[in-house]
Formats: sequence, C-alpha cells, structure tokens
Amino acid sequence: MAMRREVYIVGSGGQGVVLMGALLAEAYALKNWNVVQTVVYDAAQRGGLARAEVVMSDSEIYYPKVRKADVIVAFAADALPGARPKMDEHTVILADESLKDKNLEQYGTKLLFVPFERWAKEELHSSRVMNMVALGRVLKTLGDVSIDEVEQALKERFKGDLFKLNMAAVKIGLEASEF
Amino acid sequence: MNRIVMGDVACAMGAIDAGLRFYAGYPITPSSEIAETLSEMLPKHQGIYLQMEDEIGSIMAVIGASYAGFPAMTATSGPGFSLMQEAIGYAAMAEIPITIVNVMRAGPSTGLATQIGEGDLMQAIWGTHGDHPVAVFSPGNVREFYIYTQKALYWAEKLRMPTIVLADEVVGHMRQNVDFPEPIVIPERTLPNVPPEKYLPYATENGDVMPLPPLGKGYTWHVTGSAHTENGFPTIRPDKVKELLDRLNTKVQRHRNELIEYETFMLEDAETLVISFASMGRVSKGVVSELREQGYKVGLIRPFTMWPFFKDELSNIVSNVHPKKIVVPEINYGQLRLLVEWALKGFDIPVIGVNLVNGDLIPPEMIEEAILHG
Amino acid sequence: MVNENDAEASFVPMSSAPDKWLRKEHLPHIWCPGCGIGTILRQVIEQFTKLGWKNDDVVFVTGIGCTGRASGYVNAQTLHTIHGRALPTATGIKMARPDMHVVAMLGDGDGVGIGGNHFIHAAKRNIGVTAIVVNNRIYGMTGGQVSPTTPQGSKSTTTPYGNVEPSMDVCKLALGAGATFVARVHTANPVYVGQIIGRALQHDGFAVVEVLSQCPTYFGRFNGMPDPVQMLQWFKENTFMAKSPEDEKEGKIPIGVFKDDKTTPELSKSYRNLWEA
Repeated sequence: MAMRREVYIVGSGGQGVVLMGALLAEAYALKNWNVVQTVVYDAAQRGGLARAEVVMSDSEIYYPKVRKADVIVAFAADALPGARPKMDEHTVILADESLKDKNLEQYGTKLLFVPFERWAKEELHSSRVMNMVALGRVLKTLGDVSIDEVEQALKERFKGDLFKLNMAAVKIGLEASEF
Repeated sequence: MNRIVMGDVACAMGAIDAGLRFYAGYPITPSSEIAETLSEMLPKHQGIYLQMEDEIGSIMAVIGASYAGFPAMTATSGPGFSLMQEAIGYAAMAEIPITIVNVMRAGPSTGLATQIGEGDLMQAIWGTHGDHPVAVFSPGNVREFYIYTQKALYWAEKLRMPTIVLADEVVGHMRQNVDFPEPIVIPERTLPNVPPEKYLPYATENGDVMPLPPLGKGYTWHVTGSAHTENGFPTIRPDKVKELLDRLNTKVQRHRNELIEYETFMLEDAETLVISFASMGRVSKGVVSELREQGYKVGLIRPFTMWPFFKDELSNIVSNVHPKKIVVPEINYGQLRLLVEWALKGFDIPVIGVNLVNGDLIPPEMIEEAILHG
Repeated sequence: MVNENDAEASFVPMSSAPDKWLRKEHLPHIWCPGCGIGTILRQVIEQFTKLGWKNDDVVFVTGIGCTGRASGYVNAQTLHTIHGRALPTATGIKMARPDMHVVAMLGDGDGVGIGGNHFIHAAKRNIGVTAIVVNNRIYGMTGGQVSPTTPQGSKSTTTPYGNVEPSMDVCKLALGAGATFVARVHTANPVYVGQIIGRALQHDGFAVVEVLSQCPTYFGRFNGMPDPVQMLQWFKENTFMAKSPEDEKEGKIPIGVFKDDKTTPELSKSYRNLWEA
C-alpha cells in the first residue's frame, strides 16, 4: 500500500506558510519520496490569507492537493472553515495557542494547541521562526523524517546564522513533549 | 538530478536550455515567476530580458527580436493573453517564430487572479481573427512544463509560426521534485540557399516556408501582416491571396503527426474513457488508477498537443477500445468536450462533461461519480 | 543653420538616393497627389545615402496608416507591423541587434494615439531607434477622422462641429518621457527636414523628429486649404524657429531642435553590461 502524507498549512501572508511547506517537501524529497506543494493566496499582499498544501508519497502523486489532511497547521483561523472538506476524525489540527478562543473544537478533529509563536519569541527572540517550530512539530507528528534529514534540507536553503536559527526552531518543535 | 522546482521556474529553465535569447513580458499572476527567473538567467546566457509597458508591447518586442535572430518568447495569463491576440495573428501571417506561455487562471476578466482555471483552450486555438496556423501544447506537471516549453520553441522556429504553451495556475505554481530530460534545442537559423536577389521570403522549400535569413547578410526582404505574394509585398490578387492562406492553413496539418502527442493509460477493455488536459489530466489519471485498483474498467487519454487536435488518433482508439461512454473533466464549461465531440462525430457514444470553475481543482470524487454513475 | 524661410534651401537637387534606396518596382506609391509623406521619405533616403549606410544595415519599421506604407518602398530590411506597434517591434530588433540602424516611421495616430504608451516607454528606455513622426494631424487612411494631434476647433469626418478636444504636442510628450533627441520640422522646408533627420539618425539613443506634413485630401479640404500649396504656405507662416516647444510667438508653432543629449546611455548597449558581470 502506497504511503501518502497530506499536510495543510494556513496562516496570513508573511507568516512563512509557503516556506514551511517547501521545507517539509524538501525533507521528504531527501528520503526519495515524491512531493508536491501547491499554494493558494489572495492578492499578493502581506496579511492576506495564505495556504500551502503539501502532499508526500512513496509512489506517484496524481491529485496534487490535500484530500484528507493528516495534519493541519493553523497560524490563523480564517481559512479553516474553507478547509472543512479536507478534514476527518483522523486529522490532527496543530494550532497556535493564540487561536484558543476561535472554537476550533467545532471541526471534530484531534486538536492540539502549541505555542509556536511564544516559543519562537521566548527561546530564540524571533517570532519570525514560528513556522520552523511548527515544522518540527509536524515532523514529530508524522514521524517519517529523522532529525538528520530535516537538518540536511535546511542546510540546502540556509547558510550560517540563519541556518542555526532555523534549525534551533525546528528542534524546539521536534523535541516538544506532549502536554 | 532530482530536485524540487516550481512549474513556472521549470518553464524558464526549459526555455534557457532550449536556447532562448529574448524574453519580453508584463507581470501577471500566475505567470510572473517565469519573468522573474528569466530576468536573472537570460543575462548569464547572452540573452535579453525586457519588462515592457503592456502585453501588446511585450509580444511585439518578441516578434522584433525573433525577426532579428534571437529565439524569443513571452509569458502571461488570461487578461494579457487577450491583449496579445492581434499580434499572434501578425506572427502567423508574417511567419515570424514566437512562443507564448499562458499560465491559465479563472476568468472571464480579472476572474480569480491567483487561482486555477482552464478556460483559455478555445482562445489559444482560435483567439486571433481570421483562420491561422498555431500549435498549442499543454503540460500537466512541472516536468512536462519544461518539456513542452522547449517543444513550443522548437516548432515555432521550425514552422515559422506562433506556438502556445497552455499551462494553468496549479502547474505553474506547484513545486514538485523532478528529473529533467535532455533538452530539445531550438534549430539555428541558416542562410537561405539562394542569393539575395533570388530570395523569396514566403516561397516554399521542401513544402515548408523558406528559412528566415539573419539580418545584415544582404537580404532586404519585406515583412507585412497584409496578404502578400511570395516576395512579401502586399497583394489583393485573389489567386495569390488564396495561395498564401491555403499554405498557412495547411502548415500545421502537414506536420500533424510530428506535432501530436498524448498519453494513454489503462485503455485496454476500458468501458469508460476519460479525456482530460493540463492539471485536470493529472488529477484524472489518479482517479482512473484508483478505480482500476478497485476493478472498474476505466482508461485515460491525456493530450499534450491541444492543436492540432488528435482527431484521427482519438477516433482510432475509440474504434478499437469501444468505450460505452467518455468523461471529460476540465475547469471550464466544456471546451475540450466540444473538441472531443467534434472528433467523435459519427460515433454513438455519450460524452459527459465534468465541469466546475470555483478556483480549485475539480475534486476526484466528482470525476469518480461521473465515471461510475454519469 | 538653414533659415526655414530660405526659398533656395527648398530646392532638392537630383541624387542617386532613389536608385539605391527605393524599390522602384513597387512604385507608383499609394499616397494622394500633394501628400507630404513622399517629401519626407525622400529626405530620409537622402540621409541614408549621405551617411553611407548599406541597405542591409538598416531596419525600417512602420505601423499602419498612410505613413505605415512607407516600409514597402524602402530598399532595406523592412517591417510593416500592426497599428501602433512599430516602436515595441523596433525595440526588440535593436535589443537583439544593436549593430543595425533601426528607423521607425510613424503617423500621428500610429505614434501618439494607439501607440502612445509605446512612444512614452521607448523614450523612457532611450532605446536606439530613430522615430520619425509624420504629423498630418488627421487619420488619412481611414478617411479623415480626428487624430490626437488635430488642432482644437479643426474639422474632420468625426468632428463635424470642430474638434472639441485640445490637441497633443508630440515634442512635449517626447521631452516629458525622456527622449534624448527631440526636434520639430515641417515639409515646406525639405532640406531642413533632411538635415534634422540626418542628425537624428546619427543619435545614439531614442530620437524623435516630428515632421508637420500636409494632407490636402482630408485635413486641408475640411479646413479651408484644399490645395497643398496653401498648406505649405500655412506651415511657413505659422511656425517659428525656437529652442523649446514651450516657446511662444503670436500663437505660432515652434520648430527646431529642442533637445540633443549625447550623455544618457542607450539601452541596447547598457543592457549588455549585464553580460560582462
């Protein structure tokens, strides 16, 4: 049976949604899986809705978008109603803790609030890398990619201090204990 | 080498690997990444990138550069493609090779500027006024975008005519890991085998129009969008006009066997035949693959050449396979379905459209439903 | 400098230019008797001869309209493009082949009407193209409709009560958009037309020569000057030598060279600096 992983990332423009999806895809590509990332955004302004869909499979990918998400990462709640058809009872929503009052229970999925932004700010003094904290948390949930593989993917994109910062953020997500 | 590349970037890479030397364009979503990539790559390959004042200026600069010997293309999306239509006719009439990439978004008008549509098929084939030759290729994934950009550039030069690559937003914006094949290289322009005083720019050589000579080599020919004789000068003589238009309008048919490409998938014993292009071709292939696993007798054809249409080939396939019905999923209200119905005139087989324009791909369940119960 | 009212200067001597630069087999031309376009074209080819250019050194580009037909008669590498689009075509040619002399001959409708945006941007880019704008102040080919340069109050087939709109000043537009050579001349003094076109052809960047030209068939006939001689006389009486198109003198039209900037880099050359880097 073919293995297929589907991840849907929603947030606002400028939150690093597309970059996070790209790195997720690249980490799986290093395992020789097929990957496809598609994005949907409103007009190209900061602050508009941004959505990335990443599909990874060890066999050929035909439908390039998410059908039933294994994981949904939510930095903002606005896009979630539109994503309802892509959820079922097996879907895990990993939502930033700032969305606790957004009634995310309504979707009937597994739901975890994670302080992506707070951790990035408190531990790395950069809320900008909250997407990398989330990447680490997604990889932990999916459990296919080793820390070495994701490190390799990050190295191909970032150099020097930028690599160190992003990798540290990924580690925070990967090593987060359940709570 | 296996790497993750965006569709629009693959298009630009394909063009560079084929030998593109000139790009002029105007930014428009979802094609702008082609321009951005080429603005970086072209100067490194002794090429020129120009951002023009609009799409009409863009396509005319492309025509000018191609005439002057630089393989040239532009890229756009629906609104810009509409603006380019008059010039596409000029390139067809003046027989100047150009390639236009249209990364389709949903229309009409501004429509859904950042989301997928596949509603420009008829415009790509018939868009400019008057009957004219054009070849239209359509890729369904990142690798195919690389390949068909090269084929479009190749055939434009070979047949001295406009060629169009009809991608869509999902193909253009998706990132996918790919392994590119060996490039198809644009043929080099050579001197005509006759001296300047004997040169007739619109005469034929082995059935095809003469090659365009390089500038500055003694050939002072005339180019016009008006009806003309073999020497390039305007004429209204009915016999000469007919001769020209007959030749232009049989250009593509003469090379149809080389131009036409399509993929067949699980056709044997298929009771339902799915025909689909661009992103929906790829999605449909997944549906067919899943249904076959469940034991349903369903097959697929994915055309890569939308024009000339694979009319004879399709009719042969249908004669051999005997499907009970044909399903055509596309993100428009039935443009490919019309071509299929035209190709299968005389067969008593229902052609069922699966049509949805809402900014997204048509969900596989809708296609499944049409295959199983349509 | 030749005085624009110098009668002797208007005499054009016999020359070999037509033999070398005209496709005589395609004559007679399609222009009406008394039209100014032939006068201007003659001056263009005289300058080609004077500059010693070869026929295949020159790419001669036109759009649509009466002036658009000029490309058919010039023995060079010629393109008769579509309406308003001669300049972007010329831009593509010059970018690919900076070694070619690229000349675009435009009408007023072609140049600053339908092609106005291209005109502005060709000037802004300083692309090495010589734009000769034949301004007869009317749409001739389609039968005498109003053009962007038709004077306010003038009659045409679509302004039967007189043109309500103000007219456009080609030279002011060119200057505002950044053209590096800008001049205005008129057909009543062909030798001066030739001199200025000669300077424009040798200019490295984007050069604009607006040539006021007579259309007796339409503009003249509708506006009380059906005889071409009347129109030429009108040019003589209603123009004055000036340094700027802003100069004023009794409501007359300023003519002369308004700009000649040799320092701004030409685009097809400056772009190639990227190749070295």
